Order: sequence, then C-alpha cells, then structure tokens
Amino acid sequence: MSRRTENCLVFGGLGLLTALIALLSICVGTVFLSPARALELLFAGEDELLGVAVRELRLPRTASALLVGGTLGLAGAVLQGYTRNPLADSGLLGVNGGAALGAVLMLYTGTFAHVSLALPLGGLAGALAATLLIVALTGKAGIASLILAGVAVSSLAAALTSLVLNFSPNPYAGMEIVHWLLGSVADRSWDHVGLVLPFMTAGVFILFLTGPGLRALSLGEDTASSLGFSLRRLRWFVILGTALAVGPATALAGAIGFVGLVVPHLLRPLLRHDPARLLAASALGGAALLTGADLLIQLLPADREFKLGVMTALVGAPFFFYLIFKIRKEYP
Amino acid sequence: MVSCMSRGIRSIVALLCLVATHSSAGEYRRIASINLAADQLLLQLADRDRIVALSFLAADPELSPLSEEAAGIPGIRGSAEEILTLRPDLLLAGPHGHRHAVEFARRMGVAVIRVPVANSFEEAREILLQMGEVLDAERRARELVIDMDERLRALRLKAQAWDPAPEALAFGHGGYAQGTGTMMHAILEAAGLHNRARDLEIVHEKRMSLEELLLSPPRFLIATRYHPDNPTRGDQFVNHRALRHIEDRMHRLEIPLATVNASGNLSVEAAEALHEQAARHMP
Repeated sequence: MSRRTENCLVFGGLGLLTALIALLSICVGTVFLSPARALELLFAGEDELLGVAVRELRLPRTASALLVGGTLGLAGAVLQGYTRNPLADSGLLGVNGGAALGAVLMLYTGTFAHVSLALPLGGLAGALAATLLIVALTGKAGIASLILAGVAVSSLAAALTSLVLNFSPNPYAGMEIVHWLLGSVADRSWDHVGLVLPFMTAGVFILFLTGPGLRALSLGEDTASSLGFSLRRLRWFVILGTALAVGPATALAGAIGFVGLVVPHLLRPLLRHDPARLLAASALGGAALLTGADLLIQLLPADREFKLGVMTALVGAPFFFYLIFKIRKEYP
Repeated sequence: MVSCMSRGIRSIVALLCLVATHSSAGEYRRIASINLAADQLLLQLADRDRIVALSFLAADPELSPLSEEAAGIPGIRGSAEEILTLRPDLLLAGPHGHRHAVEFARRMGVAVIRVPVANSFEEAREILLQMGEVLDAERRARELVIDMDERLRALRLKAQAWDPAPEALAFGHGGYAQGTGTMMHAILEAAGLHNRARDLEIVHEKRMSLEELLLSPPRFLIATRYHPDNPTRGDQFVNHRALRHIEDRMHRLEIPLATVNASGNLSVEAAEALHEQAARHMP
C-alpha cells in the first residue's frame, strides 16, 4: 500500500469517525433529536428554546470535548515521541496536575472573578511549571526516572492543591474541586471555550511544528543533530507547546488522564511508527475518543453524573497495565 | 419521607434522654458548642454567662444568622486541646465529625450532645423543645416555637392568594437542585412556592442538567450565594449564558446563605424574605 493511500485511509477514517461522533453528541440530551433535526435547529430562531439548547449547551459541550481530547491526544504523541518513551503522557508526567493547581489557585483566590482570563492563564502557568520541572529533573535519563519525576510532580501538585483548598474561605470549596478534578465538559458555554481557544490554538500549532524534529529524533539524538535539527529548539517547542495546549485544556475540563497515553499507542502501528504523521492522527483520535466517552456518559442511565475523567481512567488504567506487561516482556 | 422524618425525630428524643438524667443533677453552667447549628440554639436558649465558647463560624455574618449576638464569645475549632482548656460541663457538637474531640470530651466526663440538623420546620420545632429541656430553658423554647409557628401561619395565609402556587427551583453549592428532605425545600413551601424538585422526585439534592432547566423554566430560580467576592464553580451553573434566553419568564431570587444553612427555626426569616421577593413578581 502506498503511503498516500495509507494516509487517505487513516486520516479519512479518523476524520469521518470524529465527525460522526460529534454529530451524534449534539443529538443527545434531555430530548433526543434526529441528526437532521439537530442540524436544522442549529439555525433556528432565538425563540425556539430547543435551538438555544443545541447551540448554547450541546454545541459548546461537544466543542470542548473535541478540543480537549484532540489536545491531549496530540500532546501525548509529542511527549512519547520526544521522550521516546511509550509511557509518557501529560497526565502521568504531572502536567495535568500542575495545570489543575494553577487553575484552582485562580479560582479560590477570587482572581478569576475579576479577570476571567486568569483561569486559562493559571492553568497555563501551572502546566508550564510542571513541564519545566520534569525536563529539569530528568534531562537525558531513562524511562524509570521520567515516570518517577512524573509521580513526584503529580503528588506535589495534588498536595499544593489541597493546601489552597484548606486556605479557601469557602467551606464548600473542597467538595466542589474534587468533583471538578474528576473532569467534565458538561454545562460549558461558548464563553469558556472562547477563553481557552487562543492559547490552545497556539499550543497545537507549536506542537505540530515538532513533527519533523521528532521523526529525526527517532533515529537517535546524534543522527537528529547531524541532520540539522536543533535539539534545544525542539525541547523548547515541546515544553511551550505542551503547556499552552494542556494548561488551558485542564482549565476548561478538569484533569483528564490517559487520553494522551492510549491514543498514540492505538494509532502508531497504522502509521508505520512514524512520529510525525502520528501527531495529526493522535489529535483526531483523541478528539474522537473523548467526545465518544462524553457521548457514552450522556447515554448512561446513571442517576448521578458520570465524570469524564473517571471514564477515561476506567479505559486507560487497564491499558496502562497492559503496557507495563508488554514492556516487562520486552526487557526481561 | 414521613417515616424517615419521624425516625429522625425519634433518634433525637433517644439522644436527648441519654443526657436528661445527667442534667437532673443541676443545670449546665459551662456550655461549649463546636457546631454552627448548635451555636444558634445555644444563643437563643441559654444566657450568655453560661456559654464558654461557640464554633469559630458563629461570628461570620455570611454563615451565622446570630453573628451579632455571638460577638465577644470565644470561637473554637473543636480540638481536644480547646476542650481540655475550657473544661465545659456540656459540649454541643454536630451530627458528624470531630470524632476524636467528642470521644476525648466523653472520657473527661463532659456531657456531649450531637445536635441533629433540622431539615424541616417540624424537626426544628422538635429540636428546639428538646434542647430547651436540656438547657433548662423550656419556657424560652416554647416561646420560640410559638413565634416560629405564628410566622409560618401568617405566611401560609398570605400565600393562599397564590393558586396554584408558582413553581420554583433552588440551587445550592455546586449547582445542586434542592429536593425534598432539605431545609431549602421547607423554606420554599413555607414561602408559598411549589418546589419543582418534588415533581422531579429529587430527594435531598441532585445535579440537574441545564438543558432540563432551559427547556421548562420554573417561574422562580433561587440561588444562595456565599461571599460575593469569593466565587465558586457552583455559581457557573446558574450563571450559564444560555439561561439569558429565558430571563423574561424566570425570575431570579436570592436569599442569604446564613438563614438557610444550619438555622433551624431561624430559617423562617428566609421564607419571609423569599415570599416578599416573589410577591413583587406576582400579579
């Protein structure tokens, strides 16, 4: 099969799948709509309340899931490519935790009330700090120290988040934030999406720029350097891109793990282990996965709201076990 | 619902009988409370010189309806050490929490009462009367009950003009709709409003979808707010911009948190405020 047909099949298939899931997700809610009716309601007048529900409740929810899922999938592919480590993922490395800490700080110091941009900026700062810390801690070290550093940064971020909540004057803050950290895209509005969109676009753009560098890096650092790639520049692109994409995504949807871990793994064999082509595929796959998970949540007859992060963890954790099992077999 | 409530009251009676024998030895002179609801009872029933400490929340005007009366009385967080220093002869605690401090106090020989939370005016009445007995303030308790009942009756008479009762939904922290079995439900009904959550069969509280609210808005939306300068994620639910489209058919009312939470008989104030606010939008 030529590379062109392969690209067509993989990207066409993923794109179609994502579009289909997105369309289904705007059909589902208190009232179930046919896809035709849902599309028609997108352009209905102001006085049609069902149209308002589709445009202002369902559409931003779907957009949030697509954005966050796509970003997490992409960031996972970049991190795995850059560290050449199959266990790298923004959640495991503590970037999500750092972003959550930043967002919580903005929420409970009240800064958020005065400057609404404070929330994505807080997430961004937290994610950046966590990424810098990970890179500083590990340098060129191997798998073990990378995961250890991730555990350390995650625990530190979680502890500091609890500390912020202890100091919050609102006695209900703890309960609220526990729920928020489980991750959800329910009840998001276009205001929320609009706040994070510029940062995430910039982050995604920077992450895509790393493609050729990651491809060269898969041949080893020396080969990449001799091919004319600046490893320093690549590292900064990875750090900045991850922080810009994952930080605001966490501010929007809470801490959602495992998407960045699972998606690149599933797609890598389809793309002949090419780290550059994997980026776009992982973005599409992540968007499809998270939107699909959110769709499933809405279809579940659960009396209580099922949280998105719980859902991805239920799928992702067994996958993680499987990966560990595989690695153990490869390096006995 | 009814059986659940009567079971609650029975357990209150059982709880208080336990200490009734103790109190016959003489009235309590050094009383401490480590619970916001118990603070309000104590301030209403006992003379100031018998109160050695209240919970640290008692003086917060955002949370405590009798914060002015509480001023000047030491506020404690409920640690064993504080109890050791204060040496109260009676300790009032909430239904849960402070497990170690409560055990410690009991070992020291301090009488401890875990005061239940009132989730209706009936429960508030029962708790008042029982606490009146414990604190040797039966007359004061009866007066308070009579006052509460009279104000509730006056509200009922005023609300009779509204037929059918206008629908309302109340949201607490985190955007949870307040259903039957909550004080907020009792407040809504006392104010002459019909709690939509009852039709939705929401017991206690439950997350509601914004879509459900948008597609069939009640006449009144009630939000309780904590410090206005301390926003919470819960506010985001009732402040979602999609709700702007139904602003003309759904009026927003706001009652202070202090008169909703942990207030027992004092919640009648919330019902009065709510009725008054709602009346402005009624024909």
